Amino acid sequence: MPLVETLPVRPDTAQWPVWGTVARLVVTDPAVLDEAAGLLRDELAAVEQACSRFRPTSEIRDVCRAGGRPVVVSSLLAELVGAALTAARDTDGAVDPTVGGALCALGYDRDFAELAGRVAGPGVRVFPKPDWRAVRLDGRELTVPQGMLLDLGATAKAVAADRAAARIADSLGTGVLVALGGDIATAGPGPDGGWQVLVQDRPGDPSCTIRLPAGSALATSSTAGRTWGRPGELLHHIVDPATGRPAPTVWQTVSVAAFSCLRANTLSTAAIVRGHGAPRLLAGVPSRLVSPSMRILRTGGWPE
Amino acid sequence: MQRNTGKRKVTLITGALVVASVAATGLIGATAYAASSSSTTTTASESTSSSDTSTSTSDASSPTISSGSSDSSSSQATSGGS
Repeated sequence: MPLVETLPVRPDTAQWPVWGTVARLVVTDPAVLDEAAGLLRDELAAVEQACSRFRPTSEIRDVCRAGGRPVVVSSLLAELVGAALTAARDTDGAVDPTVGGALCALGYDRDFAELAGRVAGPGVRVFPKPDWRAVRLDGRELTVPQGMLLDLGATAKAVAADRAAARIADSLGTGVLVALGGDIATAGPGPDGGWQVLVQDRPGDPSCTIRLPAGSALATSSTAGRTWGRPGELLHHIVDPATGRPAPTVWQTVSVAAFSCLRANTLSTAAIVRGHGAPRLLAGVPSRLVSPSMRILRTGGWPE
Repeated sequence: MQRNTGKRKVTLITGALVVASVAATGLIGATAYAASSSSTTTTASESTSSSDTSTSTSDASSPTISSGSSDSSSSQATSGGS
């Protein structure tokens, strides 16, 4: 079950469903809310058209159909792929955009809303082993090996939040918070005391509220948020590139604060994949890790 | 005479091979022990991750966050798994 947003929608807030989760927009100047919502919708539509692996006409689907030949892509897709490759490099491959084939093989081959209640049948589908180093990006020229499917889901949502927040603040001169499910970016001046965020995975899970300084970001990754079944097993969407399987659930939820949503999301996703190695990965970084038994580890000055 | 000299050479070569083999075995053993020790240390360190603990040191490249209001409904957004 993806994020359930239960907070009230006030005059400074807009909210709507997107990408199987919730888009939420908060501005410090309510007079520009409608205009800000328009900018956010435009940004989300552009990102989806560039990199959705579920939309047959998306740009990235064209690249993956090119049979391994280089393709000149839009500057937006180049930015999104570049961000994904940076995340892979920074995490020694723990966050790898080439797990698209592995996700399809696990049954996550359509929009998550269409997976609900569907049982993925057994079958054999062969995809290249994930390896981000096989992808070439030279300026706007992108080369993806034949048969490899890119999944930018781990980073594109974060980049979309960063881009939209910056664009809204720059264009409208307002402080803004953009939340796309667990991924939150802020830009411009914040409210007095900073942006207040409720950190909670599922209803009933332990929660806390924190204050984010203006210009900072927060991301939460979860093994409980997007799950689906197939005979005899429950699967989740964070794949360990080393195995092509959902990462072992050492942590149910990891939340990380950083100065960009991309960085926060990269670390929270990598922490899930790293499992027992997560505390070392996150040393000094404000983070909150919740085990399946709801025990909590805080690092980097995350408040009690 | 030549036969005795040949025997000594064979003995010397065999001895050298035995010494080299023992040394290599020792090196492999030491390497394996080091790897094992390293693995053990890692496991011990990781075992603390399942406790309710916190660290207070934040690096300079990260924002400083603080506790929010106890009234969670006054929050502007929720960060949860999606």
